[in-house]
Amino acid sequence: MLEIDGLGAAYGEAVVLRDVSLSVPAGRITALLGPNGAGKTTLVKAIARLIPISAGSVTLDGQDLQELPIHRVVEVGLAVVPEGRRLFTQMTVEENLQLGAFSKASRPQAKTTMDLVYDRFPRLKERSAQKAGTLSGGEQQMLALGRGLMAKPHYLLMDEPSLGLSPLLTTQMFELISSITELGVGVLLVEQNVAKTLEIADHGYVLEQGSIVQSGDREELLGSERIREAYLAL
Amino acid sequence: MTVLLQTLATGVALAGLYSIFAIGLSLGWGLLHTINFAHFSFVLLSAYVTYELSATGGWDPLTTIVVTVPLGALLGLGLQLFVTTFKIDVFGTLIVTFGLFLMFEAGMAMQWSADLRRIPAELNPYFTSALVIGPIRVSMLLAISTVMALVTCLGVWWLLQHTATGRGIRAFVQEPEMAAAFGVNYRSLALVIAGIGGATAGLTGTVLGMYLSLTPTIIEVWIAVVFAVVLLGGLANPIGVMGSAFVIGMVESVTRQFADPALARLAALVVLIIALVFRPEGLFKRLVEEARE
Repeated sequence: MLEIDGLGAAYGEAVVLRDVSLSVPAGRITALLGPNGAGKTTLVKAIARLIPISAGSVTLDGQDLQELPIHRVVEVGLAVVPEGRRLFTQMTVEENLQLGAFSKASRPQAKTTMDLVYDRFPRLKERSAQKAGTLSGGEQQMLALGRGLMAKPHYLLMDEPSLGLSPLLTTQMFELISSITELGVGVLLVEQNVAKTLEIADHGYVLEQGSIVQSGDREELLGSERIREAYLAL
Repeated sequence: MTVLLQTLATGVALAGLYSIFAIGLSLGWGLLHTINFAHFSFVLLSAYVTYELSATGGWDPLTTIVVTVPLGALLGLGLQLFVTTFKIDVFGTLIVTFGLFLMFEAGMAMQWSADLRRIPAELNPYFTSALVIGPIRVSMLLAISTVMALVTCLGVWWLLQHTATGRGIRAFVQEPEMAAAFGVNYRSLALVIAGIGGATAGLTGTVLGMYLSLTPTIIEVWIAVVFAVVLLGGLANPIGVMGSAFVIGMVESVTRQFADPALARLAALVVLIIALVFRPEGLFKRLVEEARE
């Protein structure tokens, strides 16, 4: 279980997150919904220790992540597919994947994991020697996901993985995300595409203005007036 | 024909000296945000160590690399620890290392005085003998240093391209946050790179200790040409460093042969200026560009 408890974060004086608590169980998809500017990306960064937190804690299967130096967070099982992909654009597709398995915990199995990733994304295999920056948007998104999987994470944070993808690719991406849980990976999925997200998520949270305003399993969220009006436009 | 071949051989030999001198500086600048002016001091100190061990200790000067290479590596490590501990930015490193340069110069002047120091010829067979291939003669020392340069630059290239350390440091330069999130520990990788850069300074020092009559200020005449090689070579690009060292070495060699030897260094700097006017990014590409947000 990845547990976020009472988390707060601020950029200088501006408080972005206030008393956020949520849990991401293993092997399940947890959705994080909310309008632009609600603080979703900040929350993802705070969980991954990419920005400092001002209150609360993040624990992964009992390990307090704040106690670890940033480069060791991945070793205990947390990987991120960040907003905007943030690939190593001047390195090849293969090198990006190798970087995903850079940590001590995942490097020994890098070769077998890479075969699995290539199996799942044959497109990446075709382009393995190409610089990541020359890939199309969809391919880059696949690579960002592949890089995340290379870390053999127990929990994967995904921030807007469908951003900028065509409808067809978006559908494929959601199928992929849903298949990741079969590996036992717990996914925290941040998405604008609420309809598709609620098709695959097991449960979810709604973040507005830096606070969790609603949570529940898929049926509860789909049945909620607030969600139907604000996010599904029904 | 013989003259042309001889000119080529001299150019290659100079390229060897310049590339082994420049590679450490290029790595530090391109990967660690350190413009290490003290690299020149590390080289000169190593040269004096080679001189001292050989002239007074009776060592074969080439074997002194077992001392100078670790010494250079330690100096590189020490500087890197200092830079990361005090979080000195790239411009700051230029100032700090220039200060170090002046301190080293004063220290070496105290230790070895301003007198010329030269390893006696009878102890320095590499300087006095020559490698003769057909009609061409190259100093044995320059032949050895060219091989050293080739091995060093190719070794660094291999490390950067084909090892986890190399991949990690390249990734960090491009996307520091993501590299860290995937387990890259910059501090320890930076120490590896700084140590390697320092080790190349030690190697260069041994070569120059055998090649030059040492004075505490002798290294100053190398500054411009070595920076020229670094800038034209594309930062942290070992193949580029060899390429730009070759261009500059050849310009010097041709100028020496067909014009005036006194103009050789000047000609090399004119080439630098012309090249930077038309290709401000250098003749070769930088190994990795930093991420721009």
